[in-house]
Amino acid sequence: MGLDRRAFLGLVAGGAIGTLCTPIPWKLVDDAAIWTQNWSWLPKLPKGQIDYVTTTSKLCPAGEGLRVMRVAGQPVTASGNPDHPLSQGGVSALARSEVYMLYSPARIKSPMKKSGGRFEPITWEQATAELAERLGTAKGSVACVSGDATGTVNEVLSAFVGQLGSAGYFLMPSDATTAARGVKLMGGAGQAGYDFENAATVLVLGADIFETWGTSTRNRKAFAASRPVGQAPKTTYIYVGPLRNNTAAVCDQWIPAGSADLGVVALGIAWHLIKAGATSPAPGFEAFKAMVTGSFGPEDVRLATGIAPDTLAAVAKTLAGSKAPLVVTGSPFGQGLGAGPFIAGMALNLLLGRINRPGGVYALPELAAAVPGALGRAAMLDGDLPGFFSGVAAGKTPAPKALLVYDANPAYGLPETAAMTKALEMIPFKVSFASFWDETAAMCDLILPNSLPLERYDDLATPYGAGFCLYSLVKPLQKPVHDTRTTADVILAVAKKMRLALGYDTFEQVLRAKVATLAKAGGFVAKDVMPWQVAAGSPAPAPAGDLWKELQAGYAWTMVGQVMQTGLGFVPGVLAKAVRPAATPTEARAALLVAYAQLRTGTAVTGVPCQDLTTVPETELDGRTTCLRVNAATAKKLGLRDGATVTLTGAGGRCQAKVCFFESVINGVVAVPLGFGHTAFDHFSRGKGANSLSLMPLAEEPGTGLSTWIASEVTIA
Amino acid sequence: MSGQHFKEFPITWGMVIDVDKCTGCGACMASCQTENNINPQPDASNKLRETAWMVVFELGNGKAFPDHDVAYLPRPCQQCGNPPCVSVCPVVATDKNEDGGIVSQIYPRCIGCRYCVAACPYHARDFGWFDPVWPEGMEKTLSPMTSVRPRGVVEKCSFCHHRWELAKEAARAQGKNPDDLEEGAYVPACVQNCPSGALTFGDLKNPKHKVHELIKSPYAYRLLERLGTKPQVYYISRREWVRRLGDNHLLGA
Amino acid sequence: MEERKSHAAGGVGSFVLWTLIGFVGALVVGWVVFPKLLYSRREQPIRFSHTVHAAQGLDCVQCHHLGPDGRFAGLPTTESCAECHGEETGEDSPAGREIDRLVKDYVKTGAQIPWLIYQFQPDNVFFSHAAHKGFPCSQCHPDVAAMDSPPPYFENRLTGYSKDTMKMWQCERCHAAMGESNACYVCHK
Repeated sequence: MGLDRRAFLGLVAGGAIGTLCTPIPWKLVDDAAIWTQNWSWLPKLPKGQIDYVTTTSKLCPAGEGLRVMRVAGQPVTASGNPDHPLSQGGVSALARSEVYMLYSPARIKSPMKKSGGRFEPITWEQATAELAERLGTAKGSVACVSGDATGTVNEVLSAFVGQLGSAGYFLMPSDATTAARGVKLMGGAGQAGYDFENAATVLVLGADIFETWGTSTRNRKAFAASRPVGQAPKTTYIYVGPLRNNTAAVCDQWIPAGSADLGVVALGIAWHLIKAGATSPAPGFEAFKAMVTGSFGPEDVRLATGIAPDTLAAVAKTLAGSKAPLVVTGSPFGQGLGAGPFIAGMALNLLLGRINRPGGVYALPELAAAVPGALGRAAMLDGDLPGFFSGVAAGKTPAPKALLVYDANPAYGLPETAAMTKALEMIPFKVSFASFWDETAAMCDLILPNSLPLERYDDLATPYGAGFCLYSLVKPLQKPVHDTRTTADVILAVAKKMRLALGYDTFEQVLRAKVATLAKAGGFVAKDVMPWQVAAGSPAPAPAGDLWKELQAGYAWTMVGQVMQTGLGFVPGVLAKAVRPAATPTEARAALLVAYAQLRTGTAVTGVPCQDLTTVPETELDGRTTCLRVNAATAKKLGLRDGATVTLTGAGGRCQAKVCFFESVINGVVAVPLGFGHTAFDHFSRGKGANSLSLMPLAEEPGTGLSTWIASEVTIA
Repeated sequence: MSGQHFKEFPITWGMVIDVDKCTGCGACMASCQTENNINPQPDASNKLRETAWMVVFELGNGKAFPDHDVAYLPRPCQQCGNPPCVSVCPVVATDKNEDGGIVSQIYPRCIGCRYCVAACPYHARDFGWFDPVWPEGMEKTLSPMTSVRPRGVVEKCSFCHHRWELAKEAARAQGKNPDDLEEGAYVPACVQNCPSGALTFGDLKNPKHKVHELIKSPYAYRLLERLGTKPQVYYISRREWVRRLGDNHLLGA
Repeated sequence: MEERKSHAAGGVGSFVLWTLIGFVGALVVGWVVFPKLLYSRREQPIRFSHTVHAAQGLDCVQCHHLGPDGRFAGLPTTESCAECHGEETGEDSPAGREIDRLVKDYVKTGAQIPWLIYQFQPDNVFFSHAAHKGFPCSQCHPDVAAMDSPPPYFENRLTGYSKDTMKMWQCERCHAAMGESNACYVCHK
């Protein structure tokens, strides 16, 4: 009996029916559906025990204490540490991305040496040997630029550079450098600290206190505490500036004023206060009163700034009638403000009697140094980096033989980029300790990459803007992802190799010594009682037993600090020269350029964090073009159409921008965002928009000599 | 409406957003990205193709300088009481069937028809146009609490529902009642991280939670209320022009 | 007509016979051969004996416990094994050699043992052991407590999941029987 056609068909049919009675078709369909859900190129989730550890953010200028979630020991997300005074649970878009940045494609993976125009990876032994040798030949003329304004690593670096023969130690310019120069010129002592938590009325002249100025996260927490949801606010915040930025958006009042006119506005308010009878025992008051009364009357101010006399009269009345007024002065984009406007704003605090008072300005003492031969913070803040580079580029100042660049990106983050890069090119040996491939690292001869804060020991001491002394520890949460080392450790090792005595072998030893000095300074660990409560009158808790242990647990050491003022005065001579009405552009297609900065686009050192690109609205970056915000009236005068792409020219730089009408910009001004126009980093940052800093020329402030770039003139075509 | 009716639950998770305190910084957006394993997107400026569950919009009062005013409005999924997206889903990949009132979105069940994306009046839903790609090594930082979505499915804010699960587990471990959580035991990532305190979260029905009283404020409003979606996200602003924009009124009308 | 009949070589009987052969053959292939093809058999990386460890006085919860945050600790880490097995034994017995392999390949290197989890669920499933505290472990898991060596692990070649991975209907059925919610988000993430 063979298999004929009918039998064959029967076989097949029987097989088919049989198959239907087996799991084959049903299981295969089900499994195929599951197979389509599990493509191999999609990452699998980590598995393991979840725990939380603490550290402090060094990448975000707000200095938040962080609480990092780990899975099986691997950091996964960073949130704010509710116990830390600078965080109180809050965290910025930048600090939030700190864990992701460990794996940024822009990271420098090992020491690099430039040879033949290209970078080659080398070992740490080779890198440190090269560094020791090159610095040995550059002795007597070694300069350093540091972007870390708060870390003890500066003590190590400045002591090292000092022993080599320093050509200058500079911090990247910021509101802190402006404030330090201002306080010094006024004859004051200590670091200006602002007690927002106890203030009742805050007048903000320019400073972006809720975004990029100082301890912004803590400032916002203080703001939130006094503004219960849906009820009448318990405080008054007034913002004076050229643009309704993030800070002004939540303030009770926005007074439009050009960024170069902030000093004029301050003295205009002083006029009203003095008219109402305000006096001060501080030196220089009589001459100050004469100057203000003579040159900053309501009409003078109206002519210079366009502000109606009633407006400033009302502000003066509010300040005078408030039980705790506070005046904060800064640049709307975190850098470039002259000392004159700062002094004018601080003069208001003097006039209102707010120095070293709760809710006012505290003069904070500097914490004792741990490294012998280190520069103090005041000395570091005294340097004028753009002025120095400008001098080098013009041939007026000799170029240093060597430059160390730590946590800074001067080739991108300074104004008048063309001149700054020219100066950098004139320096024969440049070494960068950057963690990411930034514009400056690309220009350097040797790169010894620093481990990121989540991979290293570091610290944070009294950031500018804090109303109290503070010390917070950064501890490593994981081994370095790449072949990087903690720069402070590298410097200590190189110093030893060069037979320079810095007094320590490892950076952890330096930090322990620093903490030991703190334990002697008094203060307390902020846990149940916060320093602003002590400033307001609560009894200070006893100092901690084991301070290092508390710091490791994520708590911060704090102290209500008040440096006695013996010579803080009005310095009317300086003010008369430095505070003048700004010139209005006369050319048809010229306007004043004002910038604004956002933490979500990172800093000059971090580039745009890859996770934060989605937070950038299309009113800031459209495709690959940054947006230029201008009001319709100004646009009409300049002949600009909404949505058109234009070219801005200034300071030897050219930038493209897309015109975006926005009515909350003062007349005659165009506003552009900072943080774009990178030519380095990774594909998330590179080639997006333009670097507006390149359009800003440096100007020397009359009366102080400080480099300023607060209101630059640009031509728009 | 079309046969779907308003569902009530004993617990109703809701958010109250104080528009007068939002500075537009985007920390809530960044918090959501990292908490929910949304991949970094190099071309995020194309807002029609990007994935962002929480979006902060810039509002203006339409006047010219210097009378112009600005406000920033964070917009998570509104977790509507009467969700238009649920009523249109052909495969019940999204449903409102759980105590707490969070509208669920189940990725393996979604067929990617995008009917819900069209139906949502708040544009709160995102379609995954692309497979998610993380830079090398960054997948180690994925949160274990949210699954990774392939391309072709729709995703949206879940009020960080996984945090509720974790809070319930912690309550059970401590011998407490998981259905009666203390205020603050469960907050979404955006609410937890907002430095300005613009976001408040809690059970709208629980008198012990702050949001219960806040929604009674005369300054409280919801977006597009006249559509009858009954959102569980309330906004508060003491500025009338901001409240009027909530219902998208024509200016002057 | 006679021509037609002569072409039907086998007749009805042949048709029925071959149909039955096809039917039975399909059943055999479907129920016996297919599972063998679909699942690959794998062994655990270390032949861990629960009976030996229980005899030492180890309690189940010493390794398989709920943490203080309510999350289940799952399988113990190499570090907990290392608490007792820190050094190699040098013994030549099968057990001794297995312990030495544990110490050499995992304890000394710090690597985690890649255990094959019989019940592992996909990434989009959230299961809370804390919520299911009252049930005996063997209700869902193979009862390894009484086994000297771990049972074999069958991996589905198509999906990558374990043969013992519970499917959704099994969870739903018990939830419905217990009066618990079967809302999507209760179990999915």
